[in-house]
Amino acid sequence: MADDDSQQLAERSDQEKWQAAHDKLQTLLDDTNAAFDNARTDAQRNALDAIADETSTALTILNRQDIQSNTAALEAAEEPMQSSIDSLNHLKVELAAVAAGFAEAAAVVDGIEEAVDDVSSFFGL
Amino acid sequence: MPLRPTVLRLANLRLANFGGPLLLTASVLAAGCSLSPLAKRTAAFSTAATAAATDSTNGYQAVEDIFYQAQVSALVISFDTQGFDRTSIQPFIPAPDMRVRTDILNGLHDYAELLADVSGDKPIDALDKSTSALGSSLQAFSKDDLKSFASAQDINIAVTALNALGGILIEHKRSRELPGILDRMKEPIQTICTLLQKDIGDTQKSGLRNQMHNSYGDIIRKQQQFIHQNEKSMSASEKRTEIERLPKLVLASTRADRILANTQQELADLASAHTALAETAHQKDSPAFKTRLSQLFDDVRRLKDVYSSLDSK
Repeated sequence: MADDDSQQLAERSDQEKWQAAHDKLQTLLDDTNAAFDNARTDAQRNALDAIADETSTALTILNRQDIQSNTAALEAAEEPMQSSIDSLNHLKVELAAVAAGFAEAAAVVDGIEEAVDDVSSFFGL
Repeated sequence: MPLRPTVLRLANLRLANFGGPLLLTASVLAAGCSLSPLAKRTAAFSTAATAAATDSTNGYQAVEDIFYQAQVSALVISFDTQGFDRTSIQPFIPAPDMRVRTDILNGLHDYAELLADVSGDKPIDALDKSTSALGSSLQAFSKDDLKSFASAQDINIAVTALNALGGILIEHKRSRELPGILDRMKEPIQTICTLLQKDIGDTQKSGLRNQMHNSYGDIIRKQQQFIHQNEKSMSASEKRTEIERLPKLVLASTRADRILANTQQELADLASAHTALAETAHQKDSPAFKTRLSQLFDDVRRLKDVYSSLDSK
């Protein structure tokens, strides 16, 4: 992420940051589900399913945090969110290996990077 | 991978609850031809408001049930490789936070019923003791308790609104006090309905609707995984049955979101009808209130139709 982008992110309100992180993950989840529907091999499906699981878990954490919009909930969400981000980073590498010749999966790999950046910034991870 | 008949159970609950307020209002109206125009209007409002509060309760329960179903679907796929961790199945909204919402919705429900009672000048002793207890509970909510329900910007108005709602449930009022009650509760009811609408959220952006959308997405993906992983051991007929579940799940997802969206509209119209009721308290005729009430009844009917269509499947 460019420096001026980081600066802009820091200046936005918590709610805006929350929404930006949520939007990014939601796009990733929708893209992953669409790619999953078009997957042709078990390897592609398994990798995409794992990404969708992690992304969906991360979104649930964010949705709970929105519903419990308080500092304690935010702190409680950090650890599972870090775990989801770690898994997504790992899965990105795994998916890249099976994505050859599969455009939808390749696009998802790009999406993971952006989503992880935004969510990490929101949680200060 | 059979699905729980959650939505059908909710439909039955919803329809059963719809009968109560109808009877209540009918008895209020039958008991008093001498009732004032305001008392009659209030009784009619009470019927629709009671149904709307029940609809919201069912909406929260539907999200929890689908979230549970999504976790079970994931377990079915992961069981062979990861086994079962008995702590892994969790509710979407943790129990203390759900209690806040349940109490608020019950408070709205009881307020609507209380209006019908007061309209009919029901004796004080007949008012339900549990309503007073609920009123105390609403007044006891601290800012910390309500952080699960309202954002930092909304927390003070949430406390004030619930304090007012709790107070009105504890006090025993008579029909002559109706205009005062309605006026006093105009803002709190508007605030509570707005916060509930925010909590329900948006399919893509936040809240219950987003969680419901994603949970259905998970269930649909897991159903496909189930088919692909087991198709070699399935008969043609079994495979057909499992594949047929996929479009049904897509349809169920659309219907579930429509129910939550309709519930949001119902809450908005509930607040508008209540405001119109308060503002026309001293008028013999009240076309503005009739329009708002008609919209609210349309919402109630629309949701009843959706639930009925699910019931007949």
